Parts: sequence; structure tokens; C-alpha cells
Amino acid sequence: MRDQKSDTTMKAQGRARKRNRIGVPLAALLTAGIGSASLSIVCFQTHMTHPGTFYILFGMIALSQLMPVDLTRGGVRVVFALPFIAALAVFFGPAAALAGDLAGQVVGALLSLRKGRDSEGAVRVLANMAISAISIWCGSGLMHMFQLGTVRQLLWGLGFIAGYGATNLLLITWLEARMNKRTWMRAELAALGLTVRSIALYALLCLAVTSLIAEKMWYLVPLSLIPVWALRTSLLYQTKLYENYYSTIGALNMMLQRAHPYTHGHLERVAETAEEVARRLGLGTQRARLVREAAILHDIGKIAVDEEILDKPSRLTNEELEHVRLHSTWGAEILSPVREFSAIVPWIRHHHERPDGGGYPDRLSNIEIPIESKIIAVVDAFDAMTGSEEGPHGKRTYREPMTIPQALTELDRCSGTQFDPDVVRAFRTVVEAEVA
Amino acid sequence: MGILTVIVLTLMTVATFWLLYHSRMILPRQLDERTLESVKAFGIAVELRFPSHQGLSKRVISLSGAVARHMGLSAEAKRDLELAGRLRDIGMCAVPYRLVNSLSPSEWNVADKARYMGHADVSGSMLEQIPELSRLASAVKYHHARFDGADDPSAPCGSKLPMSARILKVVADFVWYERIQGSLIAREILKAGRGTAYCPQAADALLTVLTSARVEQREPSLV
Repeated sequence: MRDQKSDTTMKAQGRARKRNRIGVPLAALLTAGIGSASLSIVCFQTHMTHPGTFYILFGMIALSQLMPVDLTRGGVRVVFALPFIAALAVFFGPAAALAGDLAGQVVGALLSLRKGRDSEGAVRVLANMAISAISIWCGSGLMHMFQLGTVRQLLWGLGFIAGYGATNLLLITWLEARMNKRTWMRAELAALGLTVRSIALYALLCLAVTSLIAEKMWYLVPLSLIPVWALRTSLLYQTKLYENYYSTIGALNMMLQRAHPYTHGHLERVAETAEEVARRLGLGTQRARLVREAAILHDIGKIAVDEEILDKPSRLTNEELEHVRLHSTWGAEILSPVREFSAIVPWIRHHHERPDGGGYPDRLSNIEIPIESKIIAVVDAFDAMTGSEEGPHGKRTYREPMTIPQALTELDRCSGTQFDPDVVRAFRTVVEAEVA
Repeated sequence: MGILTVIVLTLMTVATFWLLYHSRMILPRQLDERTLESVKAFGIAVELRFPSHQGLSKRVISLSGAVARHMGLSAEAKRDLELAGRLRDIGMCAVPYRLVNSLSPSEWNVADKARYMGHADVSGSMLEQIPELSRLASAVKYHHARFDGADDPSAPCGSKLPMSARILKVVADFVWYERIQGSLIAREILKAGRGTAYCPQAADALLTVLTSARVEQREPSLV
């Protein structure tokens, strides 16, 4: 058992690493934030034409802080205050929008603190404030371009939203990726995937709020909380659906690891490399992500395989081999009830097919085997050959593990018969890049 | 009022109604369906590992649904009971393959029996790690716990056991004995264990619904 002191030291080191990881970007963000805030105040005019509307918009921003949605467990939080901030920018100037946004952030931080939701409160609030200030500067710049042209006042807010929204999304996802050690692109896609339709509705809502104020119907602005609430509920459910998908993958993985503990690590390695190979082969980002998920689940059928056969350190009998070979069919059967896995079910069923037609379970010919199955086959075989996957007896198979060059040579030897030559070539490039 | 304003406000009104409908009617149903699909996948995995368990879950879910209806549980409690019924055995993946597939329960020694019964704990701890399903963890963890707590003094007993765990214990045991010893003996075991192994309320409800024609009726909300 690991002693408590070393656990504490490890946690402290982890915290220190995290501080180092976000320290520099946070300092840069804060500097840029202060600069942007100053420019927003100095460069643009503030006009307090109708104080009543000003206070209503401030109130709406505060109320919207009561309805946040957490997009990821890592902490991207969406608050539906932008239409009101945009209205402040259009009718009272960017400095008023800045004041409204920052006041909203303070209210949100106080609420989070009360609910004990955020352990890194101060850092996150400071970062969010800086990001807001930069976003307001960008949004105001774009809005100013609309103002200089012949665009109607009603549409100025759209310019602000476009500038603000794009900057905000980029900076928030960048910071989240830095804090959670994810790639920026993945964090951005996760956020975008959930919000594309919401952004369109958001723009419409912004137009509606601006229209009401322009038409002197400011007293109707509080009604906009109804679509805000519905938008929030909708996003909340979409987030739950998204989380449910990944929880299912996680739970199935957990079941497999309970049945065969040695699979831990192997699946992650295979998944990461398979995604990279998919990219190299020109598959789109979305497709490559699916290949990653299929690679994580490719051996899920082994839940139903006798662990004593899988862990057997000697050669398997024909009967045992037949039993193990059923795992690809079982894997597809397990995943088939889940609609969201419909694309990856055939990839998993066919990840042991061979281009020469000698694979299983359906003895498909080269042209019939999905490219995704071919990718998983190569990456899985390489990981098995190099013996990275350890079992209860120290290693997975009765063979001695190969070195990386030996395994690559073996892949080349089987290229065209057991493995697809294009996939082997792409895989070699990925492995050589990793080794270099 | 300008034409552009009229168009914007009309569009916003339509969008608001659509959003309300979508977020209150479509998305919750979609989430329910997806959760059920995932849970079915877990069930198939367990049934493929232990073919002798095939069909048990279906019977447990059908009977526990009927018991829940008879006891007048809320729609939410009935839904959670169905999910817990489907998830109760996901920890079976940690039970050795040959223990169930090569030996009959009568051949098990004390350690084998403990390893088998440990699946409830494993199921519970797995669910604790899934935020969307963690609320079902205690029902699943205690779905083999005796009502009087005689088997494990450290575990909750009596009214401290979640009602869904008590129902699952009664129904799952009945279905198991029904399969290996027949319906009549299973009913006798149920009657004999009333108040000791089994919650009296749940046992009575099961005995009542066993004679009812509505046992096989599915909860309409979950179809």
C-alpha cells in the first residue's frame, strides 16, 4: 500500500505541475485582459441615454448567472448573458458592456463559492474576467466596423456577438485544454459540437433584445428569460447525452478491466495510435475520433471470454482458439443496442479480418473490410507483438516480446496478407515519428 | 415598428415555443432511450459471459415493475428500479468465468460463494464511478442484502435499506429459485423468508402480483 506521505507529496507535485502549466498563460491572459479593458474604456464612447434600461440589462445579466451549464466535467461553463451584454454594448457603449460582464462574473463566482462548485475559484474567475475583457474588445471592434458602415443599429449587436463569441470560445477552450492536458482542437470541438445550434438561437435572441430596446419596449426585455431558460435546459440535456455516451464507453471499459485486468493501458495505447494513424490516412477529425473510440472498445467482447484461456502462458488448443475468436462477434453484439455505436459496430466485428480473406468471423475480402477495422488490426497486433500488454504471468503471450524494429519488420512481412499495406505504411510513419 | 423588428420578434417567439417543446418533450425522452440502450449493452455483456443467466434479467425487470406498480411507487422510482434491475449484475464481470460456467452453486465452497456474492459490491462501486448512474449505486450494492441484516451486520438493514434494493432482493431470489426449483417451491421460500430475508411489504406485493394478469405488462413510460 502506498503511504500517505508519498500520496501527499504526489498530490503537491501534481498541483505544482498544474500551476506551472497554467501560470504563464494566465499571466499573459491577465495582461491582455487589463489592456483590452483599458482600450474599451478609452477608445469607445459611453452614453447613458436610458438608465432604466441599463439597470434592467444589469439585472438580466445577474439573473442569467443563476442558470449556468457545465459543458465538460473539466469546467467549461456556459452562462447565457451575451444577448444582454451585447445590448449594453450597442446602446450604452463597450465600457458599460465591460462593467455588466464583470459584475456578472462576480455574481457567478459568489454563487459558485456558495454552492462549493469550484475548487480553483480565484484562478478561474480571474481568467474568465480577463477573457471577457479581451472578448469585449474584439466584439466592440467588429461592432464599430458595422457602425462605420451603413448597417442598421439593430444588427450592430450581431457584430458584437460574432467578435465576442469567437474570441471567448477560442480563449476558453484554449485555457481548458491547458488546464486539463487535452489538445486545444479536441476541447474546441467538444464545445462547438454542443453549441452550433445554440449559437444561431443565441444570435436571434440578441437581435430580439436589441429590437425591443430600439423600439422603446424595454419593459418586455425580462420576457427573454423564457427562451434563455429553454436554451439552457436544451443545452443541459445535450450535455447529459454527450456525457452518457462517454460514460457508456467508460463503464464498458471498466467491465472489461474487471474481467481481464491486464487490458488496462493496452486499450489506451491502441486508441491513441489508431486515431493518429486514421489522421495520417486522411480520415476526417470526426472519423478519427470514432476510430479512437472503436479502438478503446475493440476487445469488449473479451468480457465473455474465459480469462484462464486469455491468460494461458502456453499455446492455445484449437477449441480454445475458437472460443477466443468469438470475441469480435460478441463485441459487436454487446454494442449493438446503443444507437450511437452503430457506426463502430461493424469495425469491431471485423477487426480480425485479413485482406487475403483468411480472417474471422466472416472471412471478408480486402475490399469488404472497413478501413477502420484494418487500422485497429495493425495497431492492436503491434501492441501485442511488442509485449506492452502484460498479463498475470508477466507477459500476455507465450512468445518473447519483440523490439519495435522487429515488430515493424513483422508488420511489413504480413503486409498484403494479414494487414493492409497502406495502413502498415501510415502506422510505420506514426511509430517512427513517436520514436524520433 | 419596423418590418425587421417584426420578423425578428416573430422568429424569436416561434423559436421559443420550439425550444420549450424540444427541451421538455424530445430531449428527456432521448436521454431516457440512450440510458436504456447503454444499460442493455451492459446486460448483454453479462449474459454472454454467463449464458446460464440469460433471461433472468428480463423476468426480474418484468416482476419488479409489477411489484413497483402494486406498491404505488412514483414514475421516477419505477424508472430507477428498472435501471437498477438491469444494472444489478454488471459486477458479475469480476466473477471468475469457470466458477459460474463450469461449477454448479452446490459445488461452491465458502470462498467461491463469497466471490460470487461480491458482484453486488463490485456493481455498486462501478456505478459510483458513473455520475449519471451513481444514484442507483446503493440499490444495486444491497440487492442481495437480507432484510434482517443477518448476513452482514455492517450493512444497512430493515427500513434503512433502499426500497428498490428490497424489491430487487425479493424478485431476484424468487426468479432464481423459480428457475432451479420451480414456481411453487420459490413461493414457499418467499413466504418462509418474509420478515427475515425479505422485506414483508415487497414479499407480499410480489406474492400478490404473481397471481395478477398484469405481471407481463410493460411500464408505458419506458417503452
